Amino acid sequence: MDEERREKKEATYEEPLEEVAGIRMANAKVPRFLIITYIVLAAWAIGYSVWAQPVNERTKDTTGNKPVNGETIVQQHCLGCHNLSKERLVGPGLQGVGQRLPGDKLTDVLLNGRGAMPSLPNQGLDNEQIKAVEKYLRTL
Amino acid sequence: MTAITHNENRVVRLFFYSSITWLLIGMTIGLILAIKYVWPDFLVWGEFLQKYLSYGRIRPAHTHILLFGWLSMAYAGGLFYIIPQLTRKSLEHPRLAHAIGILWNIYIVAALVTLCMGYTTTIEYAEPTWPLDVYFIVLVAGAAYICFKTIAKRNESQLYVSLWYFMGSLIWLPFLYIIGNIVTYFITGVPQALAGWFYGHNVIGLWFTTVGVGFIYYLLPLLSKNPLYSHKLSLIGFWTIATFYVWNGPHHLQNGPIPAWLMKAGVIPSVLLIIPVWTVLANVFGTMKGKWHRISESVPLKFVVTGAIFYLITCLQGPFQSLMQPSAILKFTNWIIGHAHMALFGAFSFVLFALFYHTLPSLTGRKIYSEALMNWHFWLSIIGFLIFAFTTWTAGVMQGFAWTEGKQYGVPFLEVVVSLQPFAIARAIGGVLMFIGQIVFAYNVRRSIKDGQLLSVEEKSTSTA
Repeated sequence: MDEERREKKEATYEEPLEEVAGIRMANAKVPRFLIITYIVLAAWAIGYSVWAQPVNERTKDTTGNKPVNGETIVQQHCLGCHNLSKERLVGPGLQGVGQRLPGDKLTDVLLNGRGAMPSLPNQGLDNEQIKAVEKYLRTL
Repeated sequence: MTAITHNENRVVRLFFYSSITWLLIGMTIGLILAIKYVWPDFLVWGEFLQKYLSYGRIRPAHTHILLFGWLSMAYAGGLFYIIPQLTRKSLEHPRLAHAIGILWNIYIVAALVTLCMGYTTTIEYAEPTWPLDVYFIVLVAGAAYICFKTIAKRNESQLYVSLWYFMGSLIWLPFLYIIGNIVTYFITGVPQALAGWFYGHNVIGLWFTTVGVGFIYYLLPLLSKNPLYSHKLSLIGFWTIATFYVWNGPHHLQNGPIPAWLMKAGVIPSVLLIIPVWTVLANVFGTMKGKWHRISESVPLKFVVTGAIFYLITCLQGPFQSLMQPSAILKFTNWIIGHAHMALFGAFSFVLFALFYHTLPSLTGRKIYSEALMNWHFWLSIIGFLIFAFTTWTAGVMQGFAWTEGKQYGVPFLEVVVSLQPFAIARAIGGVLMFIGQIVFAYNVRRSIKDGQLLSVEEKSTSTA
């Protein structure tokens, strides 16, 4: 009796093979994991269409913007060796540095370093930050 | 199955052999490009070479030859071979098809020459100028006409799922090509970029992918000797890819100067592509059930299953990098190059290699010359590709994060370039292995045509089945 029932069950579930141009085709049901995938993706799509925000700048996507304020950078990177006044520390004081190194000379020192002073790119500063530093130093 | 007629045979062989030639030429250019990454002065000896082989000119020549010389010519050959098999009807207008094959080769030569001379539209994958575009659209329309007419006069009442994919692709390709190549001539700015990327992504998704999936559906039941797992799944896969793919273009302009709703309209269908891809792959794995051991016996089956798996990985990577945050990091980096090669080399070129090895015996009446060389082709291609892909992905992630930290210009930018040197070398080595693999392939095909063992009468009747 049991066997008979099982046979009957199998017969109703197994669909016959079709053949098209010599290629045999079965007709399996859609697997459950695919149905779940379809539903999850549909829900995600609705949520995304409502809540997603574009990323306006690359830098906004990483934590903590780098300062491009010349004064802040000088405080963080230069004051270990330089005073903001005329007084000498490890290196010369920064007051009036714009007059002592006019024109390209200051740019050259910042980009390439001098003596024991490392170059600013070596300290991990980018062009925009270096420009800000230069601008600030010329005001001293 | 129907035996292949003399005329069909001539057409398919013209397309197949031409495409192998373009594969070698296109990959040679690719190798020159890879070496230029390591050694920028490579091949710039003298004014002539410096001018005609400059990076900006041969890079589009590389993509164009491989997309339209290798992949598309091989695809057209495959369509002209498989459609008569699936419809039990000989190909309509075989002479016209043969003429299209010759004119197609002339197109690729003309595109190569004009690109190296510096004539370009600057739209990716649509670089040749408009007279060539018009010429090519006529060829594609002609090929589509032949295929549709054959299908219309078929002797097999039911359309096998591969034919659905083929018919869709043959309608989509001419229209896409017109939008990407002709329409972009008449518009400027952001709309031009959108039209360009509509074409740029859909030519991959609605031509290279869909014809390739059609080939997988054709090859898999024959090579594994199992019935196709589920007709229902194949229909879900077809209609969902047809619905979602066309929207993918805007994800190339993610975080760019387009409206936010358009970005979302680009991202959501890109992620929903997981539906057709997983559906197709469920069908592939279902069909392989109980027959996995055959992979060790059959190199074509090895190629087609590997191709299908790379298709799956490409389409996990693609939706991921279309999202706004990953896109902000990965765009414009080496990562994208690895991604593009996985779809076009890892997935669909592999499917084509399987198709070539499967069909050549019935075209030439001779067996493949060397089984060992087929295996060399497989392993060189896959190892070379994996080296290439993992170096570009790693280099891309490094570049992307370095740029977000502000190393976008000046001295820090150059530091990033210098730090990528070892990756560029590894990438070139991977490229060399891939290239050697294809030389082995071309040599094996050449020898099979000339001195492959003749098929016996019995094998002849079963080789097409």
